[in-house]
Amino acid sequence: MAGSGTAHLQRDGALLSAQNLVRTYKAKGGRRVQALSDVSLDIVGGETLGVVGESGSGKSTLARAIMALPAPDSGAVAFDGADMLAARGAALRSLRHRMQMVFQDPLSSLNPAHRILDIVAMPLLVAGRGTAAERRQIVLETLGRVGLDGEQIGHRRPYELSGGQCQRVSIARALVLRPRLLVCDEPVSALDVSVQAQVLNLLEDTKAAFALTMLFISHDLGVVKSISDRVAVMYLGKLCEIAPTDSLYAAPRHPYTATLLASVPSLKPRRRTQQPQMPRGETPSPLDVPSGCRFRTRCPAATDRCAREEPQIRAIEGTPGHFVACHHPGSADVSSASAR
Amino acid sequence: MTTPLLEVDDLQTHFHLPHGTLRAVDGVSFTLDAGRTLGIVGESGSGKSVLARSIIGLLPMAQARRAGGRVLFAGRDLRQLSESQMRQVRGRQIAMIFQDPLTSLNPVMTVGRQIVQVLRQHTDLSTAAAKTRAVELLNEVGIPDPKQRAGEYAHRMSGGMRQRIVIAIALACNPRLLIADEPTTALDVTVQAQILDLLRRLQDRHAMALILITHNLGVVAEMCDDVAVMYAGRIVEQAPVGDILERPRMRYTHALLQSVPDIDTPSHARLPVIPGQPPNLIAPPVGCRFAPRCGFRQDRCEGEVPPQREAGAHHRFACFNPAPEH
Repeated sequence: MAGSGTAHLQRDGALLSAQNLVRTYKAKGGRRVQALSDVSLDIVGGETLGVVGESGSGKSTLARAIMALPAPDSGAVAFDGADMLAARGAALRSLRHRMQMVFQDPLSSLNPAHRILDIVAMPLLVAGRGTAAERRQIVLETLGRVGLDGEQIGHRRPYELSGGQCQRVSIARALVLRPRLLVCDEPVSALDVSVQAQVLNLLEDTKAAFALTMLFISHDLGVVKSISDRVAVMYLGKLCEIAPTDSLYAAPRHPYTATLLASVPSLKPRRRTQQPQMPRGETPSPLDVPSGCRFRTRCPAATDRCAREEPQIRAIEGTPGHFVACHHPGSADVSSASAR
Repeated sequence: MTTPLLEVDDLQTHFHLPHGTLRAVDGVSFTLDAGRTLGIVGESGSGKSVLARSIIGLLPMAQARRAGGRVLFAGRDLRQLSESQMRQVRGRQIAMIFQDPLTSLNPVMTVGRQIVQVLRQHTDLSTAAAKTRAVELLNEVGIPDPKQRAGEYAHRMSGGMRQRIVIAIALACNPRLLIADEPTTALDVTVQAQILDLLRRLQDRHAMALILITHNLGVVAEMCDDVAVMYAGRIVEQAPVGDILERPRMRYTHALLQSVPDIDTPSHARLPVIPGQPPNLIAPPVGCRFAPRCGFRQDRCEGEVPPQREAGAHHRFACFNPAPEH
């Protein structure tokens, strides 16, 4: 299957290390969907790790498994020196206070009946921090840091704000506990282009100001490139490739990564001048995944071996930090889907 | 000079709401020649979808009013046609496809029957001939095993497959104009590439004009001959695609292009942003509607609507203080 193994994990410096995560959901007729199949990755303190993949790749399941919301069926998650999956009760809650999340839909992730001040104060209240006056102080200050005037909008409710403002409120809510890790699941996908740029810049600024580490999940390869230090590519519950951003975009080694990149419409007009090789077929049903490498049914480089044997993730020589799970990785000078 | 296939002249579509009149499309003019592709880009609320629906007379709400303007299609003003005349134009001469392929398809009718229905409605094919033609159409849009698939229901198909079915239905009567409203927005990027490629090939084969409505500037760059940029109910700039992407003049177009994180932009590059939000279309700004968010506004931008100015043969824009020509 496209990508098991732990060769790419760093020895030290990881704020979060997830190993061999498996998450299975029940489907109709007693069948099971493996949404996350033996995925390992780590996030170094201070970096932004981007995760890209299409629908059904398991990227959101991964984010939730890391936060134990819900916990994966098997695997291990070490966060800030603690075992995330063994922790229970107060210990687990205190770990979760150090990892906060920003969701895709800014409106539905905020309680419509609550005022902005109360929404942003909620994590402090749940964590039992400070007096009401101290909490209010932290909330106003944090709202200011994300570019909102709490005195002015604090008494409004989410539906009275724009999508971009709601996403700023979500970010403020994630920041009030001063977490170490911010998990962003498609945080700009519901926003218009002009507002999207505002929120991306804000995330970069808050990351620097609050010394955050970030896990950034998106289906948009341009957005992920703009914000990430390293990027992991997922396909059907498996990790295909993980590499420093520039290395991945300049010279993708996994045929799936190459296909993805070649599929993104670019701002350079090329109508009728250059036909990139079309991706083959569509993602198979997660109920019926291909044997061996899961991408082989759409892969231009697939051989018999890909059907028999699941590729293990391994280092690419000469490009530090670049790992790929493929029997026939493309060469460095090939950056299109036509990789042999 | 030949007459264009479609000529939209000062089109206005308003919605009468309890708290005022919303000017969703407010004085839009453009022309489209046979076989060409026009991209209409804009953010949510810019009026691009209402514009498309105004052209084919399918307005989304009872409160919608045709407030003025003309839509000349092959010389006829579509706004003057009766509903039954309009039904003859829709489907046969102008077809439209929407963002969500699942809601466009009938869930309780096989996809084959849906195509047969369209063919029977608009052509004089017999049922047997229409069935054969339906399978041909499914084959043409790249559905594997088309004969068997014709007997299946839409819910058994993937998103990409459904959009192919919708395209097959739209093309059933060889329309002269296809309007595609965000046809790939709900699809994964690899499937989007396939659907765009399909549209391109079918358009060439059928010599069909295409209006492609999208918020994705990359899709515009890949697909379109010409582009119209909409902001707050108006077209603020229109030009051949190369001019829009490389020599935008109107300040909004310029800022919009800069704010897109493209896969060719270096990582961690600071994205230039457009401050603020698009205006409320019930009480829009008096002058240029982009003025409140524009870093280059002058006094008159706030009081006067900038007229369309020419910049080269097919390039028009509405701005008092445009970006300089390079």
